[in-house]
Amino acid sequence: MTAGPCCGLSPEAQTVGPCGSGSSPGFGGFGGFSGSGTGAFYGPGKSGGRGGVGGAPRPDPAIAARAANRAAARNNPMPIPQAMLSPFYGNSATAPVSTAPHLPSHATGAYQDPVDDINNSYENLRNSVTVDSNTLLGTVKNTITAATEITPVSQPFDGSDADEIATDAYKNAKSCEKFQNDEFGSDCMAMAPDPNFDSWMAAEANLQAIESGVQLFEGIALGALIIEGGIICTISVYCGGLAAASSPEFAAFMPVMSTAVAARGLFSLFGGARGGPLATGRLIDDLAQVEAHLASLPDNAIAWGPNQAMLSRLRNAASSGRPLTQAEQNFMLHELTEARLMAQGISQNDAHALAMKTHPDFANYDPEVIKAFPEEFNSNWFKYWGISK
Amino acid sequence: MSDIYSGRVWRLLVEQPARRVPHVLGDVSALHAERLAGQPGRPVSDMVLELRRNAGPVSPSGMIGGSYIPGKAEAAILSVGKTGDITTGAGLGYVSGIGKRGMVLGLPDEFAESVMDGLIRVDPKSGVPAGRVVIDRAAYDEMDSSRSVFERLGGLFLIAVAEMSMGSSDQSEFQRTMQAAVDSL
Repeated sequence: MTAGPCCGLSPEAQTVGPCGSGSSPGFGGFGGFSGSGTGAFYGPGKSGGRGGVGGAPRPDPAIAARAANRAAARNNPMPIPQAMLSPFYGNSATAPVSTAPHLPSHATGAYQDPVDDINNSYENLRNSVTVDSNTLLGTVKNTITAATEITPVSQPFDGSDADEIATDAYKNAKSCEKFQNDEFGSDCMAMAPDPNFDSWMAAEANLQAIESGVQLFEGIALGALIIEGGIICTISVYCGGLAAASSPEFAAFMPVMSTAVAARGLFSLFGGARGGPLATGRLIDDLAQVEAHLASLPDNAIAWGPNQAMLSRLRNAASSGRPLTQAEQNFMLHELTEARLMAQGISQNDAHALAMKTHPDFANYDPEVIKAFPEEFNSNWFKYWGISK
Repeated sequence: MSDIYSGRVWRLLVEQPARRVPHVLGDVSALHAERLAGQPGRPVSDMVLELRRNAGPVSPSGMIGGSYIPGKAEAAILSVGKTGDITTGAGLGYVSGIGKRGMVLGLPDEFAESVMDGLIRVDPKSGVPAGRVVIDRAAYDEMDSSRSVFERLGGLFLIAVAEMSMGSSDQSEFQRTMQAAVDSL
């Protein structure tokens, strides 16, 4: 990957906001993005589409979310992450000094050609802020497959194509009975059968209910996720999942999603996923926060054997630079989310329940810890990890 | 009687007679054991114990209930019903008396074994009464319950039975005994 002329951001990122600055308008700037200027994305093949927030419900939540992403990126890029302000030289955050300054670097054998160093440095930086498995961030690619749209659509992606994508999706949907009597009905009537239609319709029905919340979410999510410009919030988890959340659950769902994404942004992007020197510093900070949180809980929670074992593993990871396991990431994310929710005044019971939504059940203790404490974990935990007692 | 005892790390709820907790464990599928006991005591019926701890990411918890029927001297017959494998996604039939969370009615085999271990390992000095101790009610959390919780519950249940059937009828004495038991966990 070659660093672009604008902070090394991907081409799409370069179009969505300024870079080179360490400050931004802040979250408040997200407030009205969804209602302005993005209507063209929402209309299925219509030239004008619908309006923004104040208009009719949007036909597809993922498209709406993506449009909101773009709008938010334009209006309010996050401060440039610390990682980008602290260049990464090869495997070190310390600027390299040649062992033989009087010779070209390639002649010393100590370093590669400086151009290579820069590329390598950038690649390391990029790796430190992206997650390969269970992708949180990904580089914007020149093709997309819409994860939650009505129909899988794969075609060159460009903002102007959104309308066409939506049109294709509509054409492939199957039934509009639920929406025959509302303003969405006319669009829906044109749709053809599609196996995902029901779930898509459910998401559509809920979209209105989550309209205001999604803006907040997107704002916070983008705050955490806009980093390389290649922002793609994992559609199925955060964007599509959000839109598909049922209305009654949404009130509870919203704060944890935004907090979780914020926590993940702070944790996984810089501390959890990759390890390494840049990540280590952040992990140490996050770990201190988690320990303080556990220590603040009643019943001496921090002293519980499996918690001690997890904390010990995390400390070791922080000191060695070892990448965190999935369970370790989940443990951190759970605790950071819970701590932040409690800081907002949510009870521990409720914060715990919401934090549980940030990872699968049984997935926040490492299998090695589970095996070490068989009396403390029932067989569901062993079953989840595929391990035996 | 419905008391909550808070120890250093555990909280114990003792109810007797119990709220309307259905009998979900029968004799058909049960573990049985016998241990030395003292003299027969007063019968104890419908007693439920719930144990819970806040351990942060998980909250180890469980509930058992049952009765004591006086019998011949020097032997206590212990019976613990069981309900098979632990479930995932089962309905919640028991509302916790300590936390807000509900629990699944039943006692998976792995927990039944632990309850029996707890019943057997209680110090004889606790004054185990002769007769039959039956655990016929239970509830568990599919994620948070563990063998260690149910082993503790088994022990606490027998201590409660012993105190209730053999001790003084003064409730404050019972409360002191149970508080000490929770503190020692």
